[in-house]
Amino acid sequence: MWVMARFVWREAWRRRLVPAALILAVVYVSLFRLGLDHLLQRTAEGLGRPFVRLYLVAFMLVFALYGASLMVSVVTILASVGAISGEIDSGILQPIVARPVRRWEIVGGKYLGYGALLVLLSLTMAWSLVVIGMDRLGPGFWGQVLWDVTPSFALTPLVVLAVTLLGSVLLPTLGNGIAVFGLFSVAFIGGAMGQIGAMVQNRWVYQIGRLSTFVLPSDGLYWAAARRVVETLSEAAASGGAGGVGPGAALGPQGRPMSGYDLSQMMGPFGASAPQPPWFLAYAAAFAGVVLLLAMLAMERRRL
Amino acid sequence: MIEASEWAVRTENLSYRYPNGRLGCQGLNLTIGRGRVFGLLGPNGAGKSTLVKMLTGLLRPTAGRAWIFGRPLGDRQVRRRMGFLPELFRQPDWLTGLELLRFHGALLGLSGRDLAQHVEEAWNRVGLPEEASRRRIGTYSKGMQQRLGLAVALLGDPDLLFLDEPTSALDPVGRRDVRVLLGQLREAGKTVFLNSHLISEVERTCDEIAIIRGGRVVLSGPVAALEGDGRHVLALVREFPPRVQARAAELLGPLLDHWTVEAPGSGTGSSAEAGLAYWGNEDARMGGGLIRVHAVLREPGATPALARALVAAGAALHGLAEERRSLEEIFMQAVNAPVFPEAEAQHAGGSPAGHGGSGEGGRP
Ligand SMILES: Nc1ncnc2c1ncn2[C@@H]1O[C@H](COP(=O)(O)OP(=O)(O)OP(=O)(O)O)[C@@H](O)[C@H]1O
Ligand SMILES: [Mg+2]
Repeated sequence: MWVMARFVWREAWRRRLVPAALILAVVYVSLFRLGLDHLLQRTAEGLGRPFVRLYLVAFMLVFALYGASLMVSVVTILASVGAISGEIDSGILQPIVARPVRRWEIVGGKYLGYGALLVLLSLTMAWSLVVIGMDRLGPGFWGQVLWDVTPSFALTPLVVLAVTLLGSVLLPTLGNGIAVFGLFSVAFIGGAMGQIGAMVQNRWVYQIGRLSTFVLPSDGLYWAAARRVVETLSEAAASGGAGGVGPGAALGPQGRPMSGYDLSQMMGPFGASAPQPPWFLAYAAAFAGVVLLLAMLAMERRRL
Repeated sequence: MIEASEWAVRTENLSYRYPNGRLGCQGLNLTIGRGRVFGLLGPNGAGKSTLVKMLTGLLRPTAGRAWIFGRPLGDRQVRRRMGFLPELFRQPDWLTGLELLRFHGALLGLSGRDLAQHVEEAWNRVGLPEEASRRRIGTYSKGMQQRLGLAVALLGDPDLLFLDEPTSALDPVGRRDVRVLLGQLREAGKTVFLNSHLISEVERTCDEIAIIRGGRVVLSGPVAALEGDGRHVLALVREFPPRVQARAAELLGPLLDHWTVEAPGSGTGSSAEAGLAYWGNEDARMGGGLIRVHAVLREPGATPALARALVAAGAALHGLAEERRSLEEIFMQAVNAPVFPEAEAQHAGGSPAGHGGSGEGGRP
């Protein structure tokens, strides 16, 4: 399995997947940094009120994390959509399968190989965004927010990768691309629907949205992270501990102490007002595991 | 590790049905002895690659069974002793040749000095330039890629090699190299399973062959026995009345299996006939006037006895030669012969090797 994983890493490097993803990540994070600083400068002149700073940073961070989550999912799909089917079509896999390796080890090795790279990409992006955002609020609660995003951003590529690999075993490359993007879109729209439904308190829309995040938990994972980030930030604000922002940060727009609810409301759909069930992360992990297992089983029966 | 078994490969009613209903192979019964170079011939779509894919574990048989070195298909110990060059020999083009061999070595469980040694050995056997070893496979020519595929198959000194059209992209020198290589492998006691369309290649390198068509074995056996076994003799006589026939048959006794008598003018152009023409037999060259007697003898070496018997029986003997058919002739006849559906239906296995003599019964 390790041999296969190393094979994947070498391929990713040689085919410039790693450098391309790194450049993409750097550009994305730099853009976030530039935009955030510019925004903070301009509004600080006008308003000068600490809670605005908190609000802006929270909003921008959660928004940027959203984009990062999408990007990680898309990169995952693109990188692994033909991991099995493409190599069968081109005849690369046949001599490998004839070796004394078990077929599930091939799938496992690819999962390990791509998974490690993509988790690295995902966490690098999420952590960079968090560090930059929190830095603008002064020292104090980086650690908590880093921890808030870590499980979700580690799991996102693993969940999407498992589904894409399963598709790559079962379907031709193009069909797999269509199927996985379809699933991904359902989860994406569902996630947004759930949040909007919760915001406008439409029970039906909220439930439908919530259900669809279970189809492919990638989007749900993002919302779970967003919710935790918003909670951490508003708690910090409420306790007056928003780093160097000062006690004023604890005061909301009406001059009363700010609650998590306020911040989340102010952020619109990005306030992540629809909570995920507490076991959602466990669900996502189990989902990835089961789908990976299915992919391994399917590989055992695959015609080559 | 691997139990001693006389056979390298044995299949029993091995069949594969593709999901679209097409039968890749139907009821194949084959045995390949250890240390033999076995050639599988057959027209396009005959099922050669399907068979190799089943034996190498790419496809699971939909019916029947097979054993390699006495173990059922899929045994990992046995796989360690197998090498495989698929029909589609694309290799990951982002690796260098050396890296690919190291990767396959690692899959075989080799490491360290052992790995390096095996990699070097395999590389040197296929005649690739040293310079290419550190170059990306993407920069190789097609023939170089096929040579590399061959090196991958040879890696780890396997006891059994499956080569699916190993010379399809090779230049004449490469083809000869492969022929030499197969000879070396045979010397070393390795078993080779070769799929090929190049009959001359098979003729020169293989000990045994099977011809398949429509997923069934139509002919199989040692090449020498199929081509010319000293048992098929063509005699040219002026007249061959029943009385003479009976007398000659009596004189030959148990030496004669049977013969077929062919009227003048219906030449078959067999190699024996051409040989007689070369010796200056005008009648044979003209194809007129003489009766052809295709005799099938029970054992090789009985040709002089046949000559004596014919003369003693009173036949005017004009020429006599042992018949020898080229593999190409055998192949053409095997794949063009009509397939009788009822025979197919009742007998799923391969038909036994036909009698080599041309003009055997059933001629219109
Ligand atoms: N993937 C597939 N799906 C359906 N049928 C297939 C598939 N691959 C091969 N076949 C069919 O199985 C039969 C045997 O094909 P196979 O590739 O084994 O032939 P072959 O003897 O190797 O031919 P060639 O000399 O062209 O390489 C053919 O009738 C072919 O149409
Ligand atoms: Mg073929």
